[in-house]
Amino acid sequence: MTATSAPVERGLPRATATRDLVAAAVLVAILIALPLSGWQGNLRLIFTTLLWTTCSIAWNLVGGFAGQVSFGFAVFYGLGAYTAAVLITAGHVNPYVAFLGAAVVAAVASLLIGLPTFRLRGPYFAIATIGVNEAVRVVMNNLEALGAASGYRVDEIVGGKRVPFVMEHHYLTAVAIFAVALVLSILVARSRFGLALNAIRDDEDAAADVGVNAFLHKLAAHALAAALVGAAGGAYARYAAFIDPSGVFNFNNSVSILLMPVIGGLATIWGPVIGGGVYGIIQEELVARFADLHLGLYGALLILVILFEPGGVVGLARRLRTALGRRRAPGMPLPAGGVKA
Amino acid sequence: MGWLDVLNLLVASLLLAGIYTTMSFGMTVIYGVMKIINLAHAGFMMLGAYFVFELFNRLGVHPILGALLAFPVFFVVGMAVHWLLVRWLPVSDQPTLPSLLLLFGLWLVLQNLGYAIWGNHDRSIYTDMTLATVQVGPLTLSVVQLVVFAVALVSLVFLQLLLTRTWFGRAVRALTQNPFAGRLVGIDTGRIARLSFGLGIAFAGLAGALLASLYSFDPDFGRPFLLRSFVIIVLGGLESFAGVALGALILALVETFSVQFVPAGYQMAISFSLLVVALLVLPGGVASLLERRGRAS
Amino acid sequence: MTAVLEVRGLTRYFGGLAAVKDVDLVVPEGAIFGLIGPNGAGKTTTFSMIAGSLTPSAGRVFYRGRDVTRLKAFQRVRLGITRTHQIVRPFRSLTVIENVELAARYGRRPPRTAGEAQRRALEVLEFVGLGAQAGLSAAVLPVGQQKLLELARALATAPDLLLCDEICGGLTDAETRNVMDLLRKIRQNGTTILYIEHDMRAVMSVCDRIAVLNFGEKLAEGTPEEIRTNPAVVEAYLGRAAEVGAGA
Repeated sequence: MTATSAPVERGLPRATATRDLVAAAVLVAILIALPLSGWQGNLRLIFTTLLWTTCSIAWNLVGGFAGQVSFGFAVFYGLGAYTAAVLITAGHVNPYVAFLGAAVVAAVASLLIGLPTFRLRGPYFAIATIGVNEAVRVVMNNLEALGAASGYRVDEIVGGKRVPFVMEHHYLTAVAIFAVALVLSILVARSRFGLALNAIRDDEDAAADVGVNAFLHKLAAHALAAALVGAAGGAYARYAAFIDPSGVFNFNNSVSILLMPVIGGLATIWGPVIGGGVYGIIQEELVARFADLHLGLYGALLILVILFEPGGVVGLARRLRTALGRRRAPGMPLPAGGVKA
Repeated sequence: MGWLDVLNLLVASLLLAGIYTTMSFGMTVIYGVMKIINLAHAGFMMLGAYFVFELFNRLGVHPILGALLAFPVFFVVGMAVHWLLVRWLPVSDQPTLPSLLLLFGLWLVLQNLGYAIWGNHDRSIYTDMTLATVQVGPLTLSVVQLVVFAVALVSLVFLQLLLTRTWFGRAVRALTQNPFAGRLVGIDTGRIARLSFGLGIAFAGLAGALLASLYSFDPDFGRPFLLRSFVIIVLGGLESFAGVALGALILALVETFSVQFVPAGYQMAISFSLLVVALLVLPGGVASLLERRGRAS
Repeated sequence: MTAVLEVRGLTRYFGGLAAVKDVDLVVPEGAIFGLIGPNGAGKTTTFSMIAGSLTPSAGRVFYRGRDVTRLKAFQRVRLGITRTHQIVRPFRSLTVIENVELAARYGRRPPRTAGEAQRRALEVLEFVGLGAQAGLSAAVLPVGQQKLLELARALATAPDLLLCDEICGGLTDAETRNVMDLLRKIRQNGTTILYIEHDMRAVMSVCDRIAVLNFGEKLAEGTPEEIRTNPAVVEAYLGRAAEVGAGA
């Protein structure tokens, strides 16, 4: 396994959790301040970037920390989007409650994939996720009750009147979901749970031999990730006001969601955030300019990262820091395994 | 459904199972020896189809002959891909995250290459054979399907001979059963891995090339077959060569008969459901069932 | 003395071949119980079935009178049965202390806080002599220290029955003596030990009772003295001394 290895300071979990939480708080504060300070920039771009980054952080919980690769995260995004859309439009549910519902439905769906596959040793989970994406998209494409292939319109009606579109509301929703994802990721990384996920990724049998219930841990990580992605999908549905299966259940979404944490740095806290940020900002440009080539570019990027820098951006940064540190102080010992990360 | 319909469907299933077996063997060989799930399988199947298409269009090479040519060509391509990319992956006794991601990336690249060269139109190959049929008793059989089935059978016999009669085959079977024991008795694992990867890709290319005579195709052509290959090797128990043939037959039967009741668009969902059912009911695949019975007796 | 572990008729087939056949064992409280045999005798297979990482084809495993045959490995750890591995399996992406901390937090009697877990992990590391390596990545330790880490990780789960699998394989004489001392101390602290070893000398020096496996079946059982002079055991070892098998 070439994924991350922890630096020495992981021995003091609470101290570093505090540092990461402070960094997260600063980031979220800046994000909240942006629209309030009368900033005239592109809120829509940051909105989509935050949703992508949430998915990236979520994927990293399962694929990074626990080492279980999923190619089907668009399923949770789509299910979340449809759940929120139906709850808001047909159920007249408060949108914020609807996002919660989206998270719950996605988490339940994650169990349907996890229960048969996580029990077994071997590549079954990854295999199943390749199929589930396509299978669910086809079913939704034919489900007349939800508009089938022609999609579903989201109408938010309160007191007989359509609620007007306020970008700031959508934006702050995305910030909130992102903040929850980031804080959860930090807490998981620095907890007993996260330590166990790392152990499962390294050696599932050895983890069981020190008392870890690997099956339950993988299920829990998957459900947590699915809930976050489901909520992000819900926020997207309300913002877009229209969703269709070939949009939200698109296999390309699954690809993008796994690409971000890989590029940023698997099994780290900030890698998926960096990956999501970079991807979210260049994504539109990329898709617009290389409409036919962007998936191939993603593929090439994946190959390059795996072959040359499995630790992604964060791994590269650590390597540079180590190299620079060595030049400055030749007597200093290397941080444990930091180079590999 | 009358008995004649049932008979027709059974024969259709059998013919389909032949090509499905060929397709899945490519994946099993690679998984058995290297414990790598070849996600780029779909990409090489697609290239196999276009290989035949180009030979036919430009040089007038008959598609069945083209498919036979695809085998050695893709064998070399597979070895090159192994040398260039796959050999750098960490060795493990189970699929690793880097191996999944690398081959997934390769699939995306191949697929995109397909779009860049051939666009996203549906292509198909028409020959004298395409619409020809023969009458066997009460059954009407498509000539193309029969020929494809025959080629698939020949390829399987070839593989069987390779696995049982040659030094390479013995090494492959040893590594499939126990990678560590294989290393202990002095097998050059790097070389076997390269040859196996070549063989796996050769079978993917051959399968794609044969399927090009049966179905129309576009650069995303391999995707549904990738899932089918998964279902088949999971049904077969991942590493059993005999299990794969049985798995292929099961999937072919389920697909052929379910089309009678379920719209064709749901094929993918059916494959997937079969996968989940197989995992729940028969986690070790058909092979484990065979072994269990063997032990009881 | 009561039996901590009782194994009855334990059997495991691999593809029609019996790796372990009808083995009975009784390990009394407070013992260091040796399980020896030539390579391929079925020691590790027996072990894996006692630890719960392998399901027996037949037979039962009792821990302090309770039938644990159907419990999974992680459940047995929580009851107090923990194993080490013959081929070391550290969590390579974690540091040495994190390896041990994890075991402490998931074992029997898990500590309530992270701080306490860390303290206990450090204690165990110092006990086995890895205190200075606590902050290093587990992947960079030399083999001898990785073996000690295996032991430390198992100890951190607070086992009542410790299953040690060939912990001295590949160690120098001095390192072996050190491990033997550790095993004696662990027993003094109240843990019963079931100890597999290929190296006869090590076993003889530390065990109070020994069972010998050969071709998957129990060949003999007794005190080290009885085993040393048992002609069948001598035959099994010397008769096959020149052979090289593939793993135990």
